[in-house]
Amino acid sequence: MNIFSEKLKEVFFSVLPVTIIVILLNFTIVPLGYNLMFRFVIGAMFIVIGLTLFLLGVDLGVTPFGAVLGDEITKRNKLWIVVAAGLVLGFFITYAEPGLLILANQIDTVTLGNISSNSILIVVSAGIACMMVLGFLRILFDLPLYIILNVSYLIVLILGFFVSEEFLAIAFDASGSTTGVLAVPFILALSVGISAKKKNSKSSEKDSFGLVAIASVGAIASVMILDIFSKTSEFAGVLPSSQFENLSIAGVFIREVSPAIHDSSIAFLPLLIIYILTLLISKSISKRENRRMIFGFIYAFLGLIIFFIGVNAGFMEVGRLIGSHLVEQEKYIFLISIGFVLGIVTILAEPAVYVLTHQIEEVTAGYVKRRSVLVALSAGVGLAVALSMLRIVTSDIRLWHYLLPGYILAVALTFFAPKLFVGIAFDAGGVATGPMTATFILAFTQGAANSYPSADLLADGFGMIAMVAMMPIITLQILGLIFKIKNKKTIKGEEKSL
Amino acid sequence: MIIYDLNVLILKYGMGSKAIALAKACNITGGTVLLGKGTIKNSFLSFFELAESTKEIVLILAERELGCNFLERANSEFNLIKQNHGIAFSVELSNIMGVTSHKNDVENHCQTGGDLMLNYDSIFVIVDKGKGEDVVDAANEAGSRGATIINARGSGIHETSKIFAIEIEPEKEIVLILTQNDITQRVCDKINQKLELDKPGNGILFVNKVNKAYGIY
Repeated sequence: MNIFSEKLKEVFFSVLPVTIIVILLNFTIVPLGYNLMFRFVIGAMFIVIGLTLFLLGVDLGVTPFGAVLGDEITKRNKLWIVVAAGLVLGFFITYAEPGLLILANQIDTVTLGNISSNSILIVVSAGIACMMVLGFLRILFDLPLYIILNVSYLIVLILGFFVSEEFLAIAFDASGSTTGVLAVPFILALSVGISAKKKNSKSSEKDSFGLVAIASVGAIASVMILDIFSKTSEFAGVLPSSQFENLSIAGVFIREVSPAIHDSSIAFLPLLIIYILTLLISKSISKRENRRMIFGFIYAFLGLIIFFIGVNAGFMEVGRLIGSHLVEQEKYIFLISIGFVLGIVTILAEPAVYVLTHQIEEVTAGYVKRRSVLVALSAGVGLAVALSMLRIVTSDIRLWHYLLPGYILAVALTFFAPKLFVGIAFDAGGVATGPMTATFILAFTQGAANSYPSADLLADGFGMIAMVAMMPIITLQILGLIFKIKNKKTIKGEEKSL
Repeated sequence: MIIYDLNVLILKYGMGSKAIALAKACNITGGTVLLGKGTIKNSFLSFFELAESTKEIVLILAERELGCNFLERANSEFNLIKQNHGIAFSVELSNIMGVTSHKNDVENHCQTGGDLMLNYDSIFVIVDKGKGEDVVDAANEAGSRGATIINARGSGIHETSKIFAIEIEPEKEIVLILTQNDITQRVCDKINQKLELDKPGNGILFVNKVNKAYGIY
């Protein structure tokens, strides 16, 4: 067993559930047709291979590089270097995020060009850059995470009163879109790299998480501020839906190749530039490390391309079809329960979830098991998707009916849950909304919203990502509470060290 | 006098908890699991930087009788006889604290037979993070077969420092190598020479005699 076969096996078993569920659906409630089914299965294979390569690359290249960089930034012991590095890293990583570009284009269309996609990209990237600096300083000056999160969410709450309802959904969705497939492992590794050196191992453990969470809040707040200042009142009610021509199975996959290469290249570009800069400045990277990182980057790059092709060609349309089919058949109970199941199984195949759960296991030396984090995460995402479906078929529920109590609960829990889990939980919120959710589940939701006569595509179709980003925060903190109760002895030790 | 041994098992990822459960079934109070990575000797895989595998290291303290019994059972349970299923060995301890002694009247006679291997040594090398692989290379050059790397942290007398508000403890790697004792000295010399352990701050190395070993070929 080498790391490749280890990863392959693990990935295979996490993509398997979603494949089985869809195949079962195909033979029971939602017949997909031979062509689409075949595409789905091939897509699943692409995802398995792509994900394996990508995660391998993250392990060999991205994570070590993040750790080295975190080390380089802090060891000079100069404040301005930390601030400058945080600003530059935050800005460029966000700016290059494919998910953010898609979101920005959607906002551009929806606001009838009132808010241009370029201004969104810049404002959100700047917002995240500032929060990134805050996140760095937090680790270095030992500020507790929950205080920062509470203050930030309070600001978000106040901003929320001034923001139009359509934008509320967009803003919370932004938090999910910006912390994408490549940014998450890199940010996680950075914070581990900075905090790993702390002498007090307990505090270094809990400081390893939370940077993604802080960045997510930055995205929410900056989109809200943008809306308040631009005072948009007119909205277009339709999203440009991409037309699916009748192509052969191979044709669909070939069509997706060049966008996938394009997206992956853009996502990797800032990382590559930062890497080259680091090589020029730092002298402490050995030849061996260097070689390994380069191989890692190549694996991750190839893996990401294959993964994108598989998701876009195989999964997207299947998701949309399942959603619209269930609504057209007026099987609303099915819609909600299938939403729940799809949420549970899809999250298992999300790349960043992998990285986070492994990181958790490594940092806590196996004390917090991957399995228990995955269970809590799946349950949270399942609930989130089910609740979003409920919102589509019952027009009375508004998004803030979920978000307000949800976030109040999430923030309240920060006072009771073990601090390690607070960081993990808020990070998981950003992590859960990766490319799988943004394509498969989003397509499912939009398919359902499109077919339901009274559902508003804009208000109902967005929002889902916001829900997926919120629910894990709650469920993981509850997991933390369970750990606390079950394991009183260890927690007492932790409190003493706080 | 009761002799205590430190039993070390290096197993595939995910097997650590099973090993502890097995230890408990053998009347041993508990154990500690660490995550580590093992190296694989394969030039094809190492060209692609894939010659690694995730391992779990299980440390179990036990009386010699219980430990023997446990290792025997672990050997058959985890199939250590087969290649690449993991290794297990025990090291004699000179002092132990914090272990509640068992009032165990049952005589667990160890049926070790030919498995008793007195001709093995375990080498521990503690170096700065990133240098673990160099140690493994040096050891392999001198004829050893493989190694396990464990992430750790710690600081010597030269290394305490402070950055902003945090006190720094540098990250380290512990390399664990099992060798036959006829080449132990050669391996140690090679590592010493490659990593210049004689100079302060470059790392430390120590060797323990192994009582029993399983799963080495």
